[in-house]
Amino acid sequence: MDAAADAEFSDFMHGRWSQLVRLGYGLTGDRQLAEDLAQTAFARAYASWGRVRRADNPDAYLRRIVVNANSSRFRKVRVGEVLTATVPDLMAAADGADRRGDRDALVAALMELPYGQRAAVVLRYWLDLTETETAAILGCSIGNVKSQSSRALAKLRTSAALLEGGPA
Amino acid sequence: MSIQDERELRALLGGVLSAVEPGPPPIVGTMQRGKGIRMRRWISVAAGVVVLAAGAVVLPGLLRAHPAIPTAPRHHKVIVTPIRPGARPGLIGQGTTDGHRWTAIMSPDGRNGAMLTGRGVPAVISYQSFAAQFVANPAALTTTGSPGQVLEFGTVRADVTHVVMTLPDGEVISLAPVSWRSRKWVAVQLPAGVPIVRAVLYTSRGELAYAVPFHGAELAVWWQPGQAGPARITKSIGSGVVDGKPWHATADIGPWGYCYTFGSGSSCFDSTVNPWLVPAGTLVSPMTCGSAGGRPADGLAAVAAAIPRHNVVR
Repeated sequence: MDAAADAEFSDFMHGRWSQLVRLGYGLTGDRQLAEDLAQTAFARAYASWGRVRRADNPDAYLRRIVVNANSSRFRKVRVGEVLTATVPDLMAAADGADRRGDRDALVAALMELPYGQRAAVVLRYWLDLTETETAAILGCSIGNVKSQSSRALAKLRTSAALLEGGPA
Repeated sequence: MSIQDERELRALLGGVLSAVEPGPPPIVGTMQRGKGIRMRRWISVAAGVVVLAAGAVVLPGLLRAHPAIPTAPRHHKVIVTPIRPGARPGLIGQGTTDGHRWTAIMSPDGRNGAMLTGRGVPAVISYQSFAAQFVANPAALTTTGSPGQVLEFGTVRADVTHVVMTLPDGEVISLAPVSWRSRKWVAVQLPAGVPIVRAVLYTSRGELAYAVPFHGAELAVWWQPGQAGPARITKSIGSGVVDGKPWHATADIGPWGYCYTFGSGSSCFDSTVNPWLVPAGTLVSPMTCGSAGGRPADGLAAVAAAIPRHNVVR
């Protein structure tokens, strides 16, 4: 790839890096993992840069890679993964104890959701994507997105992590 | 803390995720990973090509080591039902081919035109002036349809009593001409993909003429009994590229006449009627223009050229 294309890719990555890491964090609850997922998505975009730059919606392409890469990671490590009651928070942000408590509680509640529901929640309620856009990224039907979102919301309403973890 | 509706969930998620402050984007490392992915893709493709190439080299040898057992040609059954007096006017043929019923019906189309329809006829075929197109000397037979559904039909001279066509498996089809609009017609649906080996016209005095079709269907030249056609020659008469598309033309001389193949189409000429190989300005196919070259006895001397579509050299 020539220098001009590299520069173009560099601008592209600068503009989207934070959002993609945050998406990864919403899916994994782990900042290091989130950054790794985001980098994976950008590396794949770089490998197909000619196609990605011409795509109608390169953001959707990146998000799909993050969602799928995390899904496949989950499949690979499922056997060895140990679920714990508390979420290991690796965020470096300096914020107040209350906010950190809220954040921990919400992330813990998200991590209790099945992966499909979690992805639907993050895409629909954080990125504000439409049901159609969410379905395209998750590779499922709009009806499936609706049901996943609805179930996730119902679970979050009664989530013990949320009820106990932070102030009411 | 609790979540009761979507609005609350949005607010909480926005607060939590926007608090995440990622480090600087690792652009150089990402590009290196991207290059690695590209390299692996390239290696996979190259390996695939190598495997294919190796297969192409090795497989023919393996196949030669185990020659295929020749199979007998499939036998086809063509039944032509005679047209009885009083039958529908224009019905020029009917029967079954490999169990499929077919009919061929001519009907008037305008003052001089004719239309071919019927069961098994793939489309309505219209002829503006059938009198000009079906000059029966001694027969003017043509085909219509697709490779899977070929109808051979046309006119024969008034004294022809029957037409006999032979298929590669030895099946013999006998057609009795039917009168319609002062001409005598025959029609038969051929089995899918099966060529005619030979067609013979008979009168009450015996064999009148025979023809060997080009590509198994195109009957251009009728020879008298005992008369041999020219020796079989196939020559490339032109090739090139027009609008980025390659073209190639060949001429085939043989008992079928003088035929030109260009792309997917072909045209045949009866050199016994016109002594010139290809009359100047004759449109050989939608993309070719033939020009005069010499007498047939001199061999191939036609000139073929591809011209861009819709452009006509006059």
